[in-house]
Amino acid sequence: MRVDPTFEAFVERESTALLRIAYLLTNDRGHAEDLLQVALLRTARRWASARDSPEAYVRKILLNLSRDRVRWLMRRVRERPLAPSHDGVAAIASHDHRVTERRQVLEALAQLPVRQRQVVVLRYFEDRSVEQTSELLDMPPGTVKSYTSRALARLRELLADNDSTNLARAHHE
Amino acid sequence: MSDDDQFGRRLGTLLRDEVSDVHPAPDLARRLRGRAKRKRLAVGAGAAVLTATVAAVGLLVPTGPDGLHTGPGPDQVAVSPQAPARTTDYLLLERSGRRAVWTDAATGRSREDLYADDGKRLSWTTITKDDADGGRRWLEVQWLLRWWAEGYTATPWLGRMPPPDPFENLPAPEPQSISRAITDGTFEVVGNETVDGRDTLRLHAETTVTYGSGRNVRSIPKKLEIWVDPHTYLPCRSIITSTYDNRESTQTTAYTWLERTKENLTVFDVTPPADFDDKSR
Repeated sequence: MRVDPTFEAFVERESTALLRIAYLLTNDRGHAEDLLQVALLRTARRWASARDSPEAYVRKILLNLSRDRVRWLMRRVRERPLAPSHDGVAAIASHDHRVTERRQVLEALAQLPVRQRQVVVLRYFEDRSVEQTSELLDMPPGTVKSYTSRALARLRELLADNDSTNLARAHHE
Repeated sequence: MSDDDQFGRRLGTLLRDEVSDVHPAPDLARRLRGRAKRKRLAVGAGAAVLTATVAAVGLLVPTGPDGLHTGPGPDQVAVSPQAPARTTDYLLLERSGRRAVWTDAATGRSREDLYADDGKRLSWTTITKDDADGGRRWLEVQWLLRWWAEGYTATPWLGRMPPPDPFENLPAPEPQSISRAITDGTFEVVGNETVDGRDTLRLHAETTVTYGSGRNVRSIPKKLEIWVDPHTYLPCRSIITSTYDNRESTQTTAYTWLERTKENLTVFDVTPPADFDDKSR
């Protein structure tokens, strides 16, 4: 079996960014790596059509896989919780306030419904426009805006529960 | 820059910092090749029944004469006997308890009617439609209190949380989502049943909806049973069972898929009576 060298170059170039997206979408390093591998594998199998715009192609697969994963987890919720307990946030022992804040943002993100989480990751982590996000998620720009507003409102609520979050305090004052 | 944009950008910065030490395994390409090989072997074992949905593998080209070159992708198996129906071809009427909702997917219009406790007197009608800029225009008529109002919102969800959606993170009750969910295993196919004299396919899924926030989070298990047309996947009935404090409650919804005739679409033509109060401002 041989592998197209342009695909290997693509993996080399993009896998770090893709793994970080997968991690934010799943909040689990192991699942993120698994999602990334499956997404790359599917991209590889369609490389002939994906090679013109592989960044968008693999992201679409990754986003769809993250939705499937949430559904899979929710169907098996008794065996495996969807996300770590919210109380775990307060239990984080860190002398670095900024580290704690980052961790709280990550935990809050994990509590959003998957569509809202995807929109936040694309719009603010990847710094993509509404139109680019709309194309990647196959949803109208108006829906992206709605999800963004709902997600940010929910994140404000979640972060407001943690007194130590500068971010939430700053935006409630 | 809006407050939302500032908040979002700050979130993005914190998230980028948080994942800055996340890197893929250095042998990722090798692991990919290993997974590809395992997957292809598994596919080869099922090739006899999957031949109809063969998709050529374009990149990972086998060099040996193992016959796996044309192995089909298991994610491409089509289980629908024909293409799912398009919701834009229909006017959908959903009835559930004291609520009736008409949705015209082709134009983005919807009408919601709420009935009084006796289930007979129409209490409240709300009509909404998409606006070109992504907002929504709405008209509501309070029939019992005799007033009406209309307005526009650019960010319909800002400032209020919508009630939990029982279908959240589960397939929406429409044919395309149902078709995908059957294919990817989200829905368990229970079997064929007759509902109101019609042949249907019964599907099942379970989920948990989380309410509240912080220490007040509550998780409520829900079971979804949905009966769909076996050919078009248009749903005709769903029953959602929720378990709360060891008590079960059910919500039954009946779906009627109407033709988009001029007569049927008049359901959106609501004009407030002249003697009703205008409370738009």
